[in-house]
Amino acid sequence: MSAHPVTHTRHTLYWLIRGVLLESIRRRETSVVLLFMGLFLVGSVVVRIVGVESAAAASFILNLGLSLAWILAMIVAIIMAARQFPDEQESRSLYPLLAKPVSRSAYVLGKWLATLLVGVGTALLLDGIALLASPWPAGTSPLLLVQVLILQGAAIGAATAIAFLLSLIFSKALTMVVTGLWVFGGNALLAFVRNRAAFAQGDGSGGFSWLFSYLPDFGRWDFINALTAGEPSLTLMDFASRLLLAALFAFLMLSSAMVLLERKPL
Amino acid sequence: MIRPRLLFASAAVLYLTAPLLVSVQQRDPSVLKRETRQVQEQRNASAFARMLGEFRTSLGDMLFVKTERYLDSGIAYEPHIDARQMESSGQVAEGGAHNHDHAAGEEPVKTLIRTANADFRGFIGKLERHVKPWRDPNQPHQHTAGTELLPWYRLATLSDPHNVRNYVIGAWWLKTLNTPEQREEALKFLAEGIAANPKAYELYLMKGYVLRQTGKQQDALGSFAKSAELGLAKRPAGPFKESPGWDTTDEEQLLAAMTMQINLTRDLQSTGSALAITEDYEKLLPDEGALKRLHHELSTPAPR
Repeated sequence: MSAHPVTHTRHTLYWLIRGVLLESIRRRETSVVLLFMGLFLVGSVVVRIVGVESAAAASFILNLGLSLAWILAMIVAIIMAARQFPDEQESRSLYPLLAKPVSRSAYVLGKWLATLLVGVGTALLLDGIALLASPWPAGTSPLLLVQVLILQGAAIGAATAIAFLLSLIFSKALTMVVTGLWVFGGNALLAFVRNRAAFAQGDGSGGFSWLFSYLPDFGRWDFINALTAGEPSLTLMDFASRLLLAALFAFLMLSSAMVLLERKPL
Repeated sequence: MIRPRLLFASAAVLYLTAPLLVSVQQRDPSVLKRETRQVQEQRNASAFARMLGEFRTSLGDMLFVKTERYLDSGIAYEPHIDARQMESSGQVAEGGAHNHDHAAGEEPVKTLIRTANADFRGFIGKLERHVKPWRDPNQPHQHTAGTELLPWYRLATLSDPHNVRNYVIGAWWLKTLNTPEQREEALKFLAEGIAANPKAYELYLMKGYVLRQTGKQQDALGSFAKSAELGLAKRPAGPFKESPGWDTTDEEQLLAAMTMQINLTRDLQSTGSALAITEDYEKLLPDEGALKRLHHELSTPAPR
């Protein structure tokens, strides 16, 4: 008797995720990331032994550690998501996989979940190192720190979904560059375009502004500067709406990837 | 069984409605329409921005830094940007290039290229000090004419129309050129700024100054009154206290708007009307010495 379809899908997802996690450990990027974070760890420990004299220095070290963790985790997640499909197609390991009773949609979902886990796991590990190594400035909100970490996870989910969708269309190198530019530079570019569009209409609530609000601005999910500046935590509504936006965007990208892969001749 | 098309349709509908939720929530005009200095400082306070020296996270702020470089004859000083310093630098720059010393006892602003004593690079450092614009930070700064800065302010406001200080300082430079054409340009520039930032009281204050210079005293009075009204609406009630949305510069600019409104009311209308306005403001800012002095002056008969 064959297994129940839901059980079977779960089983497939488990093996897809396991494969990606094992691959992530073997990759050189992981070592490079850990090396960078190790350098930060050594530097910040030396600074702490010498003595952090001012609150500004403490904020600086914490900001540097968390920013480094955020950037490195995001880079790892983007690289992992961007190479899943092209690498498997190139090595032809995709074909025996899809020859099994695995739907293409389950394949997309499994790969995305796996890269999300890798990204979030890396972020948590690196954030942990940063928090252990950095002094905790007075007046910093622990609740905002929790919100920062959760929003980082949400942003990684959105970024990996973009990368996976683009990897079905472009080469992995181009996917990495486009996603990286979107994540790290899109904030400034979108702000510029949005400001000009709003001004051209003489009112910020015009159609262009609405249109641009649909393009995700990763700055909306990055509150590291606010945390180290001693800002209070986000309101529940604000926090929830940012999470919801990230989840819905990731959902849209993933479902687009599923439709695209269903139609894509392999 | 996953149905991709159904999932996509649901995702599209849900996503199309989601930004509505977020936009509605973030529609507070004070957040969207005008950036405070605190917001700008926080945005540029990241560890990476500080390590990279003149790096800024917004094009508008980067261009603002560029104006400082131009003002200092190409010499890169450590970032010390704020509207007040730019305005004070600008005042002494009126009329062309000049030198000036900083106030006695004031720590000189360091240059990005280090001095010979503080530079570990030896001849490389010496070479850089010779081939790049550099000046001993203990020497007076050499400021160029502000006209060279104007294209940068134009570009900065094009990239970020909510960066109010660029409008204020750009208009101020145009005003200092002291020709009817440039004053008209300053008014146009401020009108653009006001259209993008209708609640920025600083813009009405600067507009009042420009209008006054053009001889339109009645219009200037209206602009100062509007500036005071908007400033008071933004100012936290009670005695002055530094807060994220209101700092010393805000307080001083609001007082400037009030003072100009009172003085112009006295000149254009009557001493009695000016006194009535002063008393109204005193009720809101009872501890303000400048208003008390104005009250005293207005209520004391002029000597014959």
